[in-house]
Amino acid sequence: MTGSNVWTARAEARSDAPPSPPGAAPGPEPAPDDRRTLRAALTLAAVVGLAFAALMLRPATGLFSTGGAPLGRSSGWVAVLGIGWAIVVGTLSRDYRAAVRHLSGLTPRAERLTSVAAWLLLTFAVVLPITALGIVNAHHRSVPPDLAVRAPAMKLPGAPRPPSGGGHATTGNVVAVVLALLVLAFAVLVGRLLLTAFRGRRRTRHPAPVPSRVLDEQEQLAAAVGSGRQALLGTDARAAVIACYAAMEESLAASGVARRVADSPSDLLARAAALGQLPTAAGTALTALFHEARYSHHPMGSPELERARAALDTIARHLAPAQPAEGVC
Amino acid sequence: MTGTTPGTTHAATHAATPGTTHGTTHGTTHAATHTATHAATRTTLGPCEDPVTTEDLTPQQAGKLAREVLAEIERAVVGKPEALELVMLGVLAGGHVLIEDLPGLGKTLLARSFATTLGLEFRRIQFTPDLLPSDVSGAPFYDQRSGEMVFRPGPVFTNLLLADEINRTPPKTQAALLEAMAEAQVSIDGTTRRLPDPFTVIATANPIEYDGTYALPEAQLDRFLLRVRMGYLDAESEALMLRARIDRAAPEAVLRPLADPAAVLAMRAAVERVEVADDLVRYVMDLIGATRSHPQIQVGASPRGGLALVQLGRARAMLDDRDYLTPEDVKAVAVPALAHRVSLKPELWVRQVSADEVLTALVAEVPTPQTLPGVPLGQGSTAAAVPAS
Repeated sequence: MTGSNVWTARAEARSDAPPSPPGAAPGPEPAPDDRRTLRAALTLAAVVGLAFAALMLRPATGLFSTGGAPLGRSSGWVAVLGIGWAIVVGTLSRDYRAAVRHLSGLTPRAERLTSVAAWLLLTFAVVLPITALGIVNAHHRSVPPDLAVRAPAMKLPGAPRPPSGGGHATTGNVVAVVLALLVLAFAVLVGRLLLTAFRGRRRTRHPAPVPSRVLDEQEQLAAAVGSGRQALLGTDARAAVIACYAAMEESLAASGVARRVADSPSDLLARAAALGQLPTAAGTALTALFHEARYSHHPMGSPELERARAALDTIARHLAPAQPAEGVC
Repeated sequence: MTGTTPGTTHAATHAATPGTTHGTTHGTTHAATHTATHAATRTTLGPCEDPVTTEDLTPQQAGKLAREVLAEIERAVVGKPEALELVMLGVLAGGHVLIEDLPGLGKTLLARSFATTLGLEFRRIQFTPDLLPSDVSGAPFYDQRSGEMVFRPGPVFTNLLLADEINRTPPKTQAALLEAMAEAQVSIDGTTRRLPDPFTVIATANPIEYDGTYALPEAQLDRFLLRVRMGYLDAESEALMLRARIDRAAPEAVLRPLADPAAVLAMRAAVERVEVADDLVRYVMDLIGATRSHPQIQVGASPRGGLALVQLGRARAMLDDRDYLTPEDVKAVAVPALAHRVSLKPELWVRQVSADEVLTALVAEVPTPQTLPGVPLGQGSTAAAVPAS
C-alpha cells in the first residue's frame, strides 16, 4: 500500500459522510452570561431609544413617510452621527474579529459565514456614514438658497403642508434605511444569542436531544474508524499506521475537536484528552506510532499494526459508546 | 561552596599582574577537582550497572545518560526541570547558553551543577566594568627565570565556563569571549590556540538592570544557541527547596559526576544520528521565514537560528529516547532558540511586549506538517509520498 491508498481511504471517509456543521452559527465562543446579558440589554436599549427618538423628532409624519426632520438639513449633525456610527460599529467589528480569530472546528460553511459577517460589519461601519453624508450634501446643493431660507416663512398655521421635495424624500429614505439596518442588526443579535443559548443547553445535556445531528456525527465517526481499519488491513505498515492516525483525527473532528493548522499531534492529543474526548493511553500510543511512521525510517511491521488496531478500537469505543464496535468495518 | 566569594580582587589589580591568579576568575573550583581524576581517559559511564562505552553511543544510550545527568542535577537545582532540560539541550547540541533572569534564582548553581555532573572542568568569570580582554583569554608574561615571554592561559581555557553577568563588562571584553565562543580558539600575539573540546559557555545576564551595564548587541546574542529564563519557583517548589536545605544541613547538595568530556563529545555525536524528515526541515524554514515577515518583528532570525532550531530539536528528540525529530521537538525549542535572535519594532518596547510573547504567538500560527506525507522538499509534485520502509 502506498501513499495514494492513504489518500483513497481518507477520500472514501469523506465521501461516505459529508461533514456536518458542529456549530453552524458563526460567532465567538459563549462569553460569561452576565456580560452577554448586559450587552444585549444595552443594545436593546440603544435600538429602542433610537427608534423612539426618530419617532419623536418626526411627530407630524409616519415612520416611513417622506418629510423633513428637524435635523434633516444639518449635515454637521449627520456627520456627528456618522462618526458615532462608525466608531460603534467599528468597535463591534473589531471585537467580533478578535472573538472569531481563534475559533476552531468550524465547518467550511460556518467559516464562510464568519468571514462574510466580519467584512459586512466593517463595510457597514464605513460605507453607511459616507453615503448618508453624501446624500445630505447633495440635497443641500440641489435646493436654491433663497428658497431654503424662505420656506419656513411661507408656512402658515393650518395651511396645507407644501409638497416635500426630492431631497426630503432622500433624507427620509436614509433614516428609514438606517432604522431598518438597526432593526436587522438587533434581529441578528437576538438570533445569535438564542442560538448560543440553545447550543449551550444542548452541550450540557448528556443524551443527544437532536437525533438527526447525532446520527450524522456517528455516521462520520463510523466512516472514519472504518477507513482506519481498512487501512490497517493493508500490507504497508507505515502507510497503514498513518492512515489509522488520520482516521483518529477525523473521528476527533467529528466529535468537535478538529486539528488546528499549527497543532502538533501532541497538541491535538492534549486538547482532546482535556475535553475527555479521547482515552489518553490509547491516544498516546497511536500518536507515538504515528510519529514513528511519519517522521522516521524505522522498519515497521505487524506488531505496530496490532498496537495501532488496538488503540483505534479503544478510541472508537470511547468516542461512540452507542455504536457497535464491530459493525463499522 | 557558594560560588561567589573565593576571588574578590578586581580586574584592575590583576590586569597589572597577569602572572598572579585572576581575581575575578574562580580558577578550577572543586567541580573540577571532582573530575580531575577521571578526565578524558575514562571509557565507561554510569553509576555502577550497565556500563556504556563512550566511543559510539546510539541516540537512545546518549539520551539515557543525559536523563541520568538531569536527574542528578535536579537533586541540587529544585523545581526547575524545564530550565535544566533546556541547558542540557544546549550542551548536547554543542552550543552556548544564555541564562537571563534576576539574581538569586540559582543560575550559578545550575551551571556549577552541570559542570560537576558532566565531569567537565569548570571556571567562572565574574564580569565587571574594568575587566580586560586579556583577563578572559589570557596574556603573555615575562618569565624572569627563562627570560622569555610565556603565555598564561586565561579562564576561557576550560570545558565549561560560567560567564557571570556578561552584560556588566564593556563590549571589548564581551567580544573577546564571544570570539572564543564562535571559533573555539583564541588568537594572541599572532598565535592561535585551540580551546579544550568540549567548550561550552553558560552566560548569565540581568535583564532589568540598566545602570552600569552594556547590553549585548544582536550579532553577539546570535552566538548563543539558546536563551533560558528561569523564573521564580512556585510556592510549593520553593517550600520544598527550603525543606531540602534544612534537611541537608549543608549549603548545597553534593553531586556525583556521571560523565566526562569524552562522554559529552560522544553524546554530541549521537545527536547527529537523529534523523530529520524533509517536512520538518520545511517547517523550520517556515518558522524562520515567519519571523522575517512578522509585522511586529523588525529583524527576523538568522540562518544560524534555523541551525540552532534543528540541533536543539534533535537533542530534545534524543533526550526523549527517540532517534527521529518530530514537530513537537521543534515547537518546544522554538522560543528559546529564536526569541533572542529577533529584534522587535520600537513601538512594542513601549507596550512592554517581549520577544518571547511574539514568538509564542508566531509558533501558534505557523502550520505544522500535515498529517499525511506531503511532497518532497524542493519538488512541486502533488503526489503523496509515504516514507519508504
